[in-house]
Amino acid sequence: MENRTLIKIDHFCKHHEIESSFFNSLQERGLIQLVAVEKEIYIPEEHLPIAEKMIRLHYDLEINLEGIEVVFNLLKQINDLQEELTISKNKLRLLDNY
Amino acid sequence: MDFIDYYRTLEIAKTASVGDIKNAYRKLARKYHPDVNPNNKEAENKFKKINEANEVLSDPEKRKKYDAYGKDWKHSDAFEAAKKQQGQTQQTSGGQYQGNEFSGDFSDFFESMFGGQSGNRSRQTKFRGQDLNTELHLTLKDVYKTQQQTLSVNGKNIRLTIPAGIRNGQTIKITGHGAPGANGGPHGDLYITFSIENSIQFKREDNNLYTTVDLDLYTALLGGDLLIETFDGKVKLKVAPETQSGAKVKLKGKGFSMYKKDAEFGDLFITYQVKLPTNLSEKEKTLFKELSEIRNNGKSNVNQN
Repeated sequence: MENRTLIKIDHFCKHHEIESSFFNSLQERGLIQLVAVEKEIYIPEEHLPIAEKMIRLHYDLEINLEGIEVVFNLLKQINDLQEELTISKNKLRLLDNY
Repeated sequence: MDFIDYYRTLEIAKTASVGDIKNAYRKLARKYHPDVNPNNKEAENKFKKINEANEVLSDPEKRKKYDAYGKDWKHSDAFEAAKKQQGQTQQTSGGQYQGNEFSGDFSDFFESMFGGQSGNRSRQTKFRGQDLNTELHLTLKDVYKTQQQTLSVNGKNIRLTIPAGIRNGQTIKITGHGAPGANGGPHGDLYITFSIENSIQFKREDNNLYTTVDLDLYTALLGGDLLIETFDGKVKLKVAPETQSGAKVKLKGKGFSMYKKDAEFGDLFITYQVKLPTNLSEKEKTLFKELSEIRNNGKSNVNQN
């Protein structure tokens, strides 16, 4: 069975000096997945980079939750396009070598 | 080492106010922040420059020094000496975005003019205010119709619209009415949990109401009209002949207000409970016995003592 490292959301929020309600709102919007274990809410370690990015967008750049949703959708699209571009460039390089 | 025009970096005029600087910085930071420009070195460099410009221009002391000596930055030490003589104290102000790993990377020009950033910089991190929780006690009658209430939270009066149909235990969020933020951070939110007491005869489940109505034997057997109490007044009901005790009827739209659905209501479910007559007179007993015999083909199955 795979072991997952979970971080208590309360500790994480305390560290970043934010309210845990921020994560409730993110979860309600399906932007982040939290894990509940015996009445305690945790965030999986692998989600920390995304969570920290959302904190920066919201608290540093003052982007509201709707905005974060849009930003993440667009970032995903950019990422997909970049991957497609890399694949296309590689194919083109192979053709050039012939 | 070249002079850096911080005003040009932030795309503002030299006469820009503190608010203008803040707005310009925020606008450009949103555009060039590394989080929204992944793998974009150009945006990252631009963001560093914007941060540096903001670090100087958002701080009145640094801005003053920059404005006076910017182009002649090599003589800025003289400015420092003069300032010390005047006994001024340096105050730092913020506006720097927290938590980005790029903000510490300043140009040689900045380092020469303002020295090592670690000693001079004072970040004023913005923190959102705390969320507040409160409980509001109402009766079922109070929440049948949408109503306005004024709440006093931390000495501040908040005018609140309570939508009809709100449920017991339901929590609503009033954005921005929590505790004030620190260093210009936004207010927290206010969470109000409703405690709704039911002091009436109706039992509420979701939007439906349930009640039990007594029915006398004769109306139950022969049918008739019955005046019953609903939440918003009396209603005349036709009782079908031979209605059994425990029979249920539904009055559509006579239930409780639906939450956030204007003028829509649940249903009212009525359970009939047939009440048998007591203290029978001799004549009544005789007639009931007769009825019993009719029902049982002439044989009485009533044992009388």
